[in-house]
Amino acid sequence: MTNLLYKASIVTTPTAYGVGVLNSIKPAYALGENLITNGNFATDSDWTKGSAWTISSGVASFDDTSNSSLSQSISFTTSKSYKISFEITSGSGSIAFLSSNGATTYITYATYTVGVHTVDFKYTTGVGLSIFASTFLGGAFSIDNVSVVEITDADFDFTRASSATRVNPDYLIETVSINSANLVQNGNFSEEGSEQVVNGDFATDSDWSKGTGWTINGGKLLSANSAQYVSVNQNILGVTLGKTYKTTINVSSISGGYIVKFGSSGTIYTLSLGLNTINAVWDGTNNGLAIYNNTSSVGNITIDNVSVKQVDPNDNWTLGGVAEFGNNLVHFESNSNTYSYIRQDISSLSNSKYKIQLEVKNYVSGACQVGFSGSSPILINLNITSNGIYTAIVSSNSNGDDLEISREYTGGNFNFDITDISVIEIQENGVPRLDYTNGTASILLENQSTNLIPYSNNTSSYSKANITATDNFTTSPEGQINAAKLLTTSTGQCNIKTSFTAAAGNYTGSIFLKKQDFDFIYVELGGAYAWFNISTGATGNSGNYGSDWTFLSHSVESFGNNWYRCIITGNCINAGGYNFRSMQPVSSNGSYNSNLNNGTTFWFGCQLEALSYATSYIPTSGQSGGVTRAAETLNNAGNSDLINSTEGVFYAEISALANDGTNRCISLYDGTVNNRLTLLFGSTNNSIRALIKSNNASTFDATHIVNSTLNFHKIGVKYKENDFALWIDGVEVATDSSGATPIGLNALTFDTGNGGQNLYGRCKSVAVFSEALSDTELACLTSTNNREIFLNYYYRMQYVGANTEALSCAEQTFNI
Amino acid sequence: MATPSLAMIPSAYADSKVYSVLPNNGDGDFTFDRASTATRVGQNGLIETVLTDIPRLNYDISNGVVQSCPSLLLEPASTNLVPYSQTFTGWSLTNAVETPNALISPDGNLNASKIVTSATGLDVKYTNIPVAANTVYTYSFYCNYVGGLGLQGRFYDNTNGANIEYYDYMNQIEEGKWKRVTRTFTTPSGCSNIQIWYLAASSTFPVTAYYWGAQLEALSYATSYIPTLSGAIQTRAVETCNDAGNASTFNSTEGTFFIKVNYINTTESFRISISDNTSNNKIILATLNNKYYYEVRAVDASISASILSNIPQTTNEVLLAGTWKQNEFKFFVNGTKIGEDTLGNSPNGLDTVRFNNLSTNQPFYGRARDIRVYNEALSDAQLTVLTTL
Repeated sequence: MTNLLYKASIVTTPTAYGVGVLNSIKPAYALGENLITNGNFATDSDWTKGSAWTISSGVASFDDTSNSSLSQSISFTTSKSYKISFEITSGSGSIAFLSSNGATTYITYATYTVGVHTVDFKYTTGVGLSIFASTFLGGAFSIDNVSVVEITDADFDFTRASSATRVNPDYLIETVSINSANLVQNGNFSEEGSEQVVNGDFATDSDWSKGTGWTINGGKLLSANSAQYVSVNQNILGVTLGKTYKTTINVSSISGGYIVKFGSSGTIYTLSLGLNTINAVWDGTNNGLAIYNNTSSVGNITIDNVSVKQVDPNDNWTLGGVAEFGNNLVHFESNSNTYSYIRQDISSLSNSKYKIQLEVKNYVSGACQVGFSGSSPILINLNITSNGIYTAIVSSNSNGDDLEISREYTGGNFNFDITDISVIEIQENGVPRLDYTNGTASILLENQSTNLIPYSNNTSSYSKANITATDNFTTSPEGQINAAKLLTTSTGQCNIKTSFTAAAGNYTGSIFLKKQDFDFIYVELGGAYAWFNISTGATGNSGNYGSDWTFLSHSVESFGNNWYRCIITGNCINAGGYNFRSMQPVSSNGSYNSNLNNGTTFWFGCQLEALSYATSYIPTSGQSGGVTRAAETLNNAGNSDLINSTEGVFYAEISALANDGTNRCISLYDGTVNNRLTLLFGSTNNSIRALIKSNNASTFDATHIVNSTLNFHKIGVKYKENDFALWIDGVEVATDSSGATPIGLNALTFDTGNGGQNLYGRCKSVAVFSEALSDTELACLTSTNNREIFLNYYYRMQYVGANTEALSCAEQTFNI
Repeated sequence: MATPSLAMIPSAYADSKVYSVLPNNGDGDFTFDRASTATRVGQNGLIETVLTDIPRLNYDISNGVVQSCPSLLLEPASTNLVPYSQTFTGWSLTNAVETPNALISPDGNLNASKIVTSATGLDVKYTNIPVAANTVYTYSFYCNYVGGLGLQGRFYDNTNGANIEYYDYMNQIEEGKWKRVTRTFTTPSGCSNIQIWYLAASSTFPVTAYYWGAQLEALSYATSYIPTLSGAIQTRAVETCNDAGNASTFNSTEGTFFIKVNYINTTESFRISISDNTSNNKIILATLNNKYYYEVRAVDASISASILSNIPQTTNEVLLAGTWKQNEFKFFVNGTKIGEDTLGNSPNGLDTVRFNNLSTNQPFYGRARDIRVYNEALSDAQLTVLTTL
């Protein structure tokens, strides 16, 4: 495969992704030549100018007198992607980019300010690029360095309108997400404004009004035997009443009672030897800062430096109630439970989750809540009890963008400080899943499914018979202390169960279990039942009772650290109310009774789906009707340059999630189902099929049955006029020596070509070759080499947490 | 060569599990069971105890060198009938002096005893070990020889008041090295209690040696060390290792079964099998009548192939491979084609590899280094390469 990679035009493996995109590793992200002539406006030429446009001094300028276009003809190619780059050098403008001269085929429309901007788009129709400036929202502006280049990547568009979980590289279950940078400004309150004091270091004898006994000498401010109220002062011109300032006064010697006062009637603060730091609202009636002896006895003082700087100079924070800035923190203290808060406008909140984190310092009492304010604020009690870092996950608030940290009412009087506040947007929707189940990465694509159990990981709502449950007892497959301990309180039948309403059809229940005392667990889904050995990960007996259900299957999946996911599937014949008995510890396979009082089993992640197989874990936390993970799509990669319609090879290493009787496709196509090469898991169990259509006529259609499509298979389809072949796992399983090739292939999609029959499964690799490879190359491409075998073993052993003291022996010995 | 559908190279394990390299989805992993602790030689060459249900990847020591790759050690149940296996507590010493904790023992601890004889007529003996009459026993101990001549052992029948035998073990020990001495004997008729002796028959004194790890088992061979630290006899439970694969793993129509093993003795019949978990469809690589043997049963337990080599069964490493295909069955041992059967049906429904015949019948005991199943009948050339040491 390594040697063949240079021949591939598209290669995608589970490596990189973003929100709504799965990146391919080949072709490397590349841009074509600049299609714009005179994009730097060096001369007044090559562009067609509307009445409001001029070209001069190396820029094109729009004077905002009328809606007007600046355009240039470009030869775009249909279905290719392009990137427009430009720089607004002055002003701001409402600009529409159109892919035709003056027509209304919009690429994008937005308001742009000074700076460099880019716009990516896929060309559909038109004859050129038009920069259409509007007088509606923007104003006059100048634009420079306009370029248009073709984007030659083969990245996929990805969609999923919900969150979803995966097994991450640490082999822990997690909700996939992409986090933003910290959205909070000045979260540690360390920002300070400019110096407001003139000659605060007393370098010269100036700028200060000195009363009798005050002198400035040798870089110091001195008072010798100064009388009461005789001051030195300076009018601090830059301060604003009501704003908080950090004042520092370094006192190198002192006797007597000296104070500093801000404004003529402001609060006074007593000075002491050393560095005095005062964070205070400038609450006097004027700007004067005065220092004087506030006692009737004469005093002496030497001051080295005076400084006044505004705290939170950019006014990022709004303080309410008794909240006040301190030294790199905000202090909350009230003996009357006064509603107090700090707020910051977090603009452009999206429909996401946000992680709000802060540090509590100097905690004495009270409660603190965080969230987003507005007419219907969403605020979560952090349950602070001591100093430390606290975190909350908060949904965005549609009626207000202000982050709020405030005292929580039920906490009563309060006294604590907060600092180091951060807000991270957690984007979960539309994030592809690189899943490491069994240790090696694959792209996981699943259909929509709902966990019908409202509380997947909270045992309080479950019925228990001779079982006591302790939630959040031990480390779960998520790596968090959130798995429950289930303890038998007698011998005999001990179980935990939850009720559900079933329609006629297939249901699959699953539960993560870890052995402490019992090897065997009995699980019952409606009238279907099965035993599982959670010591060895083996399935036990199974069956069904009564006539309401038929047992279909049961299986066990290892999740490492001795956790096993036990899965049972049954068919509900008669709709009605039933129970999912997710854990009943028993003495042996086939037994219904526990043989041990005070025996422990660990329990996590209960899931019930109306499917014939279990899908990835869907956490629920009380949602009525459960939680739904949306269906996933992956499509729109590549273009006609990367996909040769005349000849080539389409390769994929994929596995199915189940034999569910459906077609699950991955295709090269022309945007329709008429010209395509489709690889699919067929509706027949364990079938792999290759289907090629040219002008809607089937020219190659081959199906091969493998041992199990639940295992990965390396599949290659060679296409060339009158020369077609299907290779699976190193073996040519079908050929056809007649037929035409598809026409106009220009994209790769994980469906049949019309958005249906999506490939729900796992994909380790997909590649497109622009030439028909030789049989030797195809055999090599679709075979598994020794190194790969060993690495698969290595990763699986890491995943299951095996003792791997002799893995090198497998590597050495496995010389096949 | 083709890629196996199942391959187990002893290299990773967990509680009750021996992992296979192939298939990678875990279907080929073995389920392991042993209801007691046991000992193995670890990577550092020292004897160590592993917990209940933990498979033993044992690192053989060859010419004093610990081998880099382990084997999967599978043994029958056995009981060490000697109390205090690591000290001479309860032993009587005449004209001999014991210094306990005098040397680092094979388990890496300073717990081996030094015995120095000072005169003729010495004896070091444990005088009360209940046994069964007319039964084969094997006594074993670790000895690190220092000097002197004439070290002997003796078994004495307390019931009948007679010697069972004297034996010389000088040829089993080496100066300055730990060696395990083994001696197999049969108790006489009526014998229900014996004595175990260490002697020095030479007139050259002193005779000095270190001793550790005494073990008496009711077997014709010695098994891995079973400590009896508390003074009570201890039993290591039987080990099983089965149930690898499923119907998707194997091709019943044709295939190749390959094993690389050391059998634990030269006399018993041991079997490793692929089957449908019944006797109806089964492929067996085995020992039979002290020879290496290949058998295929198909459909209704009728024998499709039965090929017995004329190569004597040993405890040395042996590589066996058998192929099956309609009217084509071959058996290779250590690079040589032993035989071929050109008439017979392929089995149906193969779905599991077991270290036994079926159930607990004729289990394999010994050391397994490589187990593979291919879903095609390999060629003679391939089989020759595969089974050549």
